[in-house]
Amino acid sequence: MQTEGLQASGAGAPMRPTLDEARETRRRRVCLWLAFAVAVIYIGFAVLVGFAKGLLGERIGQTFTVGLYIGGFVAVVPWLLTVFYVVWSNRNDR
Amino acid sequence: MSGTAAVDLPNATAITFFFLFIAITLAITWWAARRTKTTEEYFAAGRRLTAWQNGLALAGDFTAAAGFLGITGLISLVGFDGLVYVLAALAGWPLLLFLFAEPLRKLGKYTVADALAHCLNSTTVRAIVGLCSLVYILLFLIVQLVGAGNVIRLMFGLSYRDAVIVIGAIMMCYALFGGMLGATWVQIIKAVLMLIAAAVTIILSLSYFDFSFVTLFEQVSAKAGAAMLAPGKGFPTSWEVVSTALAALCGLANQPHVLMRVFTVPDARTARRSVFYATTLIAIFSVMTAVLGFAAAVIVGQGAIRAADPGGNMAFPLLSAAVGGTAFLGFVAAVSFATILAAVVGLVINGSATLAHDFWGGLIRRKQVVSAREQLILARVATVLLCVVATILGIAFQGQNVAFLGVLTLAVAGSTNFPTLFLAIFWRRLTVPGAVVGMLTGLIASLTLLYLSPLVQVDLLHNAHGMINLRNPGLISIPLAFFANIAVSLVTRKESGRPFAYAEATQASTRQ
Repeated sequence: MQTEGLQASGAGAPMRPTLDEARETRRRRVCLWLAFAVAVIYIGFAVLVGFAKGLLGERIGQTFTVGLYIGGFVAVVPWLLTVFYVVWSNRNDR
Repeated sequence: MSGTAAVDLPNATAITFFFLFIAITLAITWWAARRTKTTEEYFAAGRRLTAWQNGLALAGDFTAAAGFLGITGLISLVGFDGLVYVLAALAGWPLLLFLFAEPLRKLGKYTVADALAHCLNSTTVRAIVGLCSLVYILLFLIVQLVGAGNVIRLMFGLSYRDAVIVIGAIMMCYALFGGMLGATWVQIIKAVLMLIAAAVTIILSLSYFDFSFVTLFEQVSAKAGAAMLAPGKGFPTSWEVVSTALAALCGLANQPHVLMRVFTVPDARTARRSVFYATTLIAIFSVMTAVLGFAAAVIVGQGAIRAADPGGNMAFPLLSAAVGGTAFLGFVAAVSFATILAAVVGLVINGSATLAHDFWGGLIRRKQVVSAREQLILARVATVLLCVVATILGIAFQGQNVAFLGVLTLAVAGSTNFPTLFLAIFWRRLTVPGAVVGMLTGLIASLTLLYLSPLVQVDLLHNAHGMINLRNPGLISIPLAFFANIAVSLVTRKESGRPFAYAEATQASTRQ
């Protein structure tokens, strides 16, 4: 595995990154964005539960409340993101 | 259909099922014990499992007692607010995956301590991580013991204290003789059985509502109040909600024993696939706990649930008894018990690994080579110690909801390991002093805040009120820990150009 590109450069200008490094950088960026998305969605939900109780308690129709629907959304999206990641990442592996 | 009468008396059928199941798991553990010769096998099940098996074990380990006992109970008593706990699992596990799974896998390190010690090349760091992980593991052990104590008390009519002692002894034997492989197989079987128990209970419960969620929620509103479907019943203050969520997220994204599990598969693709299976199963389990909670509020009733345990931990077993009879109760109780046992064994093994590897190897025996045999002996000594201490403390926390307790321990993990691990992997400038001070800050802050909280002050020490009105320290201790890590690192900026871990991870270096 050739990864001397960035490593070998001491004080000089970095050489062109190898294919492996480019792939790893992209993977890292995707991972961080996915992590950020999940964190924002969940903490956002918690903030709503703590500070927007009235809104979440509103009824839609006879039985369900706004909160239950939002909760459903928060439940499903991280799972979808995981599926995306596993598929994408296995496809991108060498 | 009302709850069964006399469900809390020891019941012959239930007990028979209970022991039958325990016998099976003991047999498996004994089989596995005969194959556990090397340290690696003891710690990582020899990487021999398939993706499916690994995923199942992961899911089981992850949800464990806090899920079906704690969350179901919490939701049955407070309704909507319990979803914050449910969704924590659904978000925290993907977060763990996205942030840490790949880098750690590539580093080839079995524990958080190894990973950090590798990235920072310091045995002090290793020892500090060991200390923090031990605290966290001990706390989580207490949580599991509270859950198991209630189950045994329900089944056998023992006093809570005796129940906890019995469990402490059992878990010690399991951990001493089974090693990780045994725990893994027990986990898998338990996960399957838990799925079956929950599925059957759900189907039976939903049939009570004509399989309509609308009917379910209508009845919840009717019997337990419309407030069950809205936020407000579960948290005393608004800030505590956010604190709990933050703690749960950062703590879950960092569970040492779950991270260890990621490495018990042969290669990256299989590891990722097992992660997918685990994620799906965790999602299913989590949704189930919520549904069961709401169903229990109607079918069993909040009065009966509180009578069995003020923390609500017995909602799920009581529900299973109400819809499935006493034989089914025996099955469910046994499965719950095995769930807890396997999780506990995983924790104890991780804890003993930490003591053996990190404390002993890292701190006491610094540069010398520690023989594998010595490590194994030490691991077993550590196992005994952990079990004893956890048992004593488990007795003290009677009456608390285990999901609530669980998230408190997650607050400690989220304040110590998480910030440092995150920074070590993604930030070039983390230094050894930064990591050490950061972790200690998180540890001291979270434990101090816990001590000052109403949980300890009011419930344990019987004062009038807590010194701060926040029961979960996460909101304060986690940012504080991040700050300490970063600030001290910037101040002690000595090494420049240390290739940070993520770049190193791509080289799959074999420095150890």
